[in-house]
Formats: sequence, C-alpha cells, structure tokens
Amino acid sequence: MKNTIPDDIIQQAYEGNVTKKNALKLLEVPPLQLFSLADRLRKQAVGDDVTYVVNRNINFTDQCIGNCGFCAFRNQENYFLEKSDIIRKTKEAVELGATEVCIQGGLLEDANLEFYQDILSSIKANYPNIHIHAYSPMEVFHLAKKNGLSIESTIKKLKNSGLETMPGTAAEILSDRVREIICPGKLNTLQWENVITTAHRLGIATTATMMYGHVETKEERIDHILKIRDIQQKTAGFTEFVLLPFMPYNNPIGKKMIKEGKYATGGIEDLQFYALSRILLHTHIPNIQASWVKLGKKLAQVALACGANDVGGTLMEEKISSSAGAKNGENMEVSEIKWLVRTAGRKPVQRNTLYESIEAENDS
Amino acid sequence: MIPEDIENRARNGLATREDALKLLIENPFELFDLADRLRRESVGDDVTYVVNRNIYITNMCKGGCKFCSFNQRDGYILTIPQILERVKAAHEAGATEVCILGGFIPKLDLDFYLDIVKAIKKEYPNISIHGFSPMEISHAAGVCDISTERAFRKLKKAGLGTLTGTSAEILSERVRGMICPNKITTEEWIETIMTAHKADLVTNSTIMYGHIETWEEKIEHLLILRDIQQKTGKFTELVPMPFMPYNNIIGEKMMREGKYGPGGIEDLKLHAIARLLLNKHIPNIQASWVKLGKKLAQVALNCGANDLGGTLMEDQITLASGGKNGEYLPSGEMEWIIGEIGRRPVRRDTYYRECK
Repeated sequence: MKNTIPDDIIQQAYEGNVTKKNALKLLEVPPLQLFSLADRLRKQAVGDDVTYVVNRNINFTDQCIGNCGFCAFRNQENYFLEKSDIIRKTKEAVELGATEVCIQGGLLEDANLEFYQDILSSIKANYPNIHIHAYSPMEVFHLAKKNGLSIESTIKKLKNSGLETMPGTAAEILSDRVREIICPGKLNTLQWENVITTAHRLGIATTATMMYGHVETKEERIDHILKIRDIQQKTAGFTEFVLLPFMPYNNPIGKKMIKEGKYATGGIEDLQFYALSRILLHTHIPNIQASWVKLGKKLAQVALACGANDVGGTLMEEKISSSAGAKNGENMEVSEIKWLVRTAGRKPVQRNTLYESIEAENDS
Repeated sequence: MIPEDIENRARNGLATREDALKLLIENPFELFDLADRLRRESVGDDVTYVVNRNIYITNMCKGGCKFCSFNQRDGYILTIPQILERVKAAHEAGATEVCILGGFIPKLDLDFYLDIVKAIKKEYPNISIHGFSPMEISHAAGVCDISTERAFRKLKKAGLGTLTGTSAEILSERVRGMICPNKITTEEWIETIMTAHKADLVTNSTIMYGHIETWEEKIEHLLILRDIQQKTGKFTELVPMPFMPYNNIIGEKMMREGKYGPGGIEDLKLHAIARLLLNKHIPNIQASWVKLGKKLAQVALNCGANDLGGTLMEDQITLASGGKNGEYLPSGEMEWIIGEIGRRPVRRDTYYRECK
C-alpha cells in the first residue's frame, strides 16, 4: 500500500500535535492508510492489550425535564428506582464480578442533592469495594442549580459521599451552534468544560465522549476532539475517549434526517473518526473506546485495528434483566469479548474504571 | 508490502492457494488495499443493489443441518395464492426480483416447484424469479424419476430466472461431515450446479464460513467455484455468508468452548480473499448487509466487495440465528451507504444489468 500521508503530518501525529488543518487533510487520504497510521500509533501508545470493564449500568430514572432532540429514552416508561432497588442492583452486579457501577438518571424537576448523595453513601456502606462511576456533567450542573450551590461544592459533596469518577457524557458535540439545534436545554460548551475541569481539579477523573453523525460538520467534530485535547493538556483528568455514533431511529433529530435522505454514519466514516481520534489524541489520552453497542460487535472488532484499544463495559443490565425480547446483540459475555479480541490478534485484559489491569483468577 | 508476483497473478486471475495463505499473514490493510484495487480495475466504482423480496414458502426442513436455526418440525407451507399475495406486495413496492426460499422436504416433487414458477410468471411476467437450492431440485427430480438436467430445463422453461447457489456451505467433506452430514456431498454439489449451468440456468455462488472450517478449506472452496466458473461461466456473483452461532447446534457447541461467529476482521479478509482469488472469473462480490450489518457492509465495499445485495423485506433465516440488522433496507438508505464512500449506487436486476 503506497503511503500518501505527508511526512510532516506523520511527524506531528507521533508528537501529539496534529493541527486542525492537517486533521482535515487526513480525512482526504485513502481510509485504509489513515486506519493503518492510527493502528501504528495505538501499538506505540498502549501495545496489543485490549481492555474491557465488568460493570453494570444503573439508569435510576427515565424521568427527565430535558428536551434533547436526539433522545429515545426520556419519559418512555416513566420509572423511578428507589434507593433499595439501586442497592439490590449493585448487589447483583457485585455477585457477578462487577468492579464498577455506572449510575446516571434523567433530570428531575425536584432534584435533591441529598438523594444523590444518599445513593452514593448507601452503596459505599454496603459495598465499599465497588467503584462508583456516576452522574453526568449535566446532572451535576442541574443539581448545583436546583440546590443553589456552586459546581465546586456540589462535586465536593458528591465526592465526600463516595463518588469516584464521572462519565464525560452530555458533551455531544462541543459546539454551541450544534447544541442549540440538538439539545438547546443542555449546558453549553463552556459550562460543560467548567464542570469537567472542576471535577478534574477535585480529583474526580472522567471519561470524554463525542456523539457524532447528526447535524454537526466534520470540522466541528475535529474542534471537539481538539478541545478535549486542550483540556487534557491542562488537567490530565480524562481516562479515555469514547466515540458514540448517532442512531437516527426513534428520535426527532433522526426522523428529520431520514426525511431528508440522511441516515446513520457509514462504517467507513466511523472508522475514520476512531482513527482520527487516536491520531489527534496521541500522547494525551491513551485509551480510545470502541462501543460495540453502537457499532455492532463485528465493526467494533474492526475498530480495534483502526486505533481503538478498549471495548468498554459488559453492560450487565441486559444480562440480569431477563426481560422478554432481549436480543443476543444487546448482551456481551466476557467470553465473547475475549473471543473478539483474540481473533483480532490481541490480548484481552480486564481493567477497572481507572484502566488498571485486573488479574483474572482463572483466565481461560 | 505485497510481493509483485502475487499482485500480478491476482490481476490475471491466477492467484494460488499459497498466495492467499501468504496474504492472510500480511498486514490486513495491505490485503484490503489490493482487493480494493482489483475491484476497481474489474468493475469500477459502481456499487449495485437489487430491489427484491425473499419469500419463504415453508419453514420446515428435513435437512438436519447442525448450523441452522430455521428448521421446524411442524410448520407451514404457503399455498400458491399466499405466494402470489407476497409477490404482489413485492411488485407494488417496486421489486424486480423475488427470491423463493424454503426448506428441504423430501415429499415435494418437481411439479410443486414448477407450479409456483408458472403461477408467478403468469401473473407477473416481468418479475425475475430467483430461487430454490440445487439440492432441492436434484431431490425433486429424483422423486419424479427424471434426470436433474431435465428438471432444470423444465424449471427454466416454466420461467425460473436464476437458481441460488446455496447448500454449498463449505465444499469440503471433512466440514460437511460435521455440520451437514445429510446434505449432498461436495462432488454431488459440483455436479448438480454444473448440470444447472448446462441447462442454461444462471446461478449465484455462496460460501457459509466462520464455524469449524479452516482458512485452507475456505480457500479450497473458492478455488472450486473458480474452477467451475472457468468451465461454465454461469455464476453471477459470490455471496459470502458469515455463520451466526445463536440458536443452532454447531453454534451452541462453539459457544460452550468460548468460540463465537467470525469477527469483522475475518469477514473483511474473506471478502478480500474472495476478490483476490475470483478476480477475472466472478466479477461480483456481495457484502450482505443482513449478515454484516449496514456499517460493516459499507466497509466491505472498500475491501473487495461491489454489491450490497437486496432490499429484502424479510429474512427469516438470519433472524432465527440471532441476526439483528433489520429485515428491510430501503433503496434510499442503500444509496446513502454507497454515496457516502464516493461510489455510484446502481440499481441492478438479478443478472447484474442496470435497471433504467
């Protein structure tokens, strides 16, 4: 394969300072070359290990006063889990070997900080060893506002109650033009940055995410990734970057797109952005997660050859809830993760939330 | 880097088993890139698809294949009016092809198949009928005590457009002994498909991979197809079908051993190797969106494939084995998937002619 990527861009990639202009150029090179460059950088950064975390998502309510146009979850069943339900779910997760619970909910009209703290401290009182990864920047922002507190003291209180890390969700695309269209009620770019950097400053690491493939331009995606890089250079508080391709089915933004003849991003574009994320974040954020839920298991494996080095969580929720209609594709056994990693010629490694590897007792 | 002699052989349609094995241990991007170039040289940047509908005439099958999730003991057989109803819906939705699929039911004779074909042709003379497996017809011919060639000629005369190249699975006696011991043997399959070609029936060709076979066996399978094509020239395309391990005996056994279906990387390699070995012989390699998923199917179009298959409307077989990529892909979304990678979407008929 002839390489047509200019040497100076490759040089910048290895040094971790590819510019926006060059990022746009990289989208013009034949995709296989881009993938191959990202794969080499991945190998240099993290080697051949592919990590996964055994965790359980607990979405304690779908009640939400938000108005995001891309959401297919809000107020569907109108459920609300009591603290005892959350503890029970945590217990099940612990018994199945989870090292993390990931707790998020909708935005409640009367969001009371004490309730959110109580969830954390009750889990910690019962299961001190499970890692609590919880509350999106939007939830924190909302809690601060509803309870008349600063972001800083809100996070401090949550941390004191047992919060260990936070998901870097609600980022969507960090562009106020885009946010105005898809999630006008959400915190804006600056506010998101503020919550995240405050958390980092207080010792709460977070993930970073990007939800792409709706109304944003490719330039806006690149700006988003570069903003994440900037923040990371200041705080070093991001553990990983998670790309979430937008699913245009069953939500208002998607319906409008489909009416205009636009659909979900194709696999090539997904892989281009996995690769580009690896390249732009090289030397800054070592972990790029391929979400098998969004990509499908097969394409997630391919993403591992295009810059990604993590396959995320086992999403135990679907495994535990024997709810009728759970499809095979929604559950990923650890053994299937290992199979996909090994058949990609890589080594599966169980990790915790902070990307420390966990030696499995009997690794088969 | 790919050795020049391998590239030259591939370009001239002469790639060998050893060449394929060698490329499999290369950097996969090199293999994908070569397959992509061979694809462009042989069929250009058009990506074809067909507006069609699958019609399952029965969900019963006595085949006993251990990889199948679809065979029911007691099930339905559609009547001709029920079949026509489905053809009508397909016709109204703009389909140019109906794909008639079913199971292997020993009591069915040739007239059963002939009547279906005749009835459809009478009502819908312009719709292409693609369907039936070589094994079904060869068996039905036996029931009526006529030669297989005669049976194919009768079907062709009645209006069958093209025959499927299914029941090939992996053309290896070792593999067939394990996954479908009751099915026709490799030799019988070759003979039957060549008989169909001799009776002037065009067929596609298939490979069902990712279970217990080795890469050597996959390559051997593709070379058998190439060999047949050199003699008959009547294969329109190759349809690679990744095995899905859910709800069937072989898959359950694999999963107990911690093995699952092929990952996306193996899928892409298979499409690329197929392009490499079949170049100059079988021009069309299909990326089946039902099996691969829409996203990965698009990636396969950059690794040797040039066709996205059918819009379908129903695919009960994939559904039964845990496929969840949907059952219907509208033309609009097909064209989006193709256009997004800078290729030209072309609606084709069963014979790969552009629909105007």
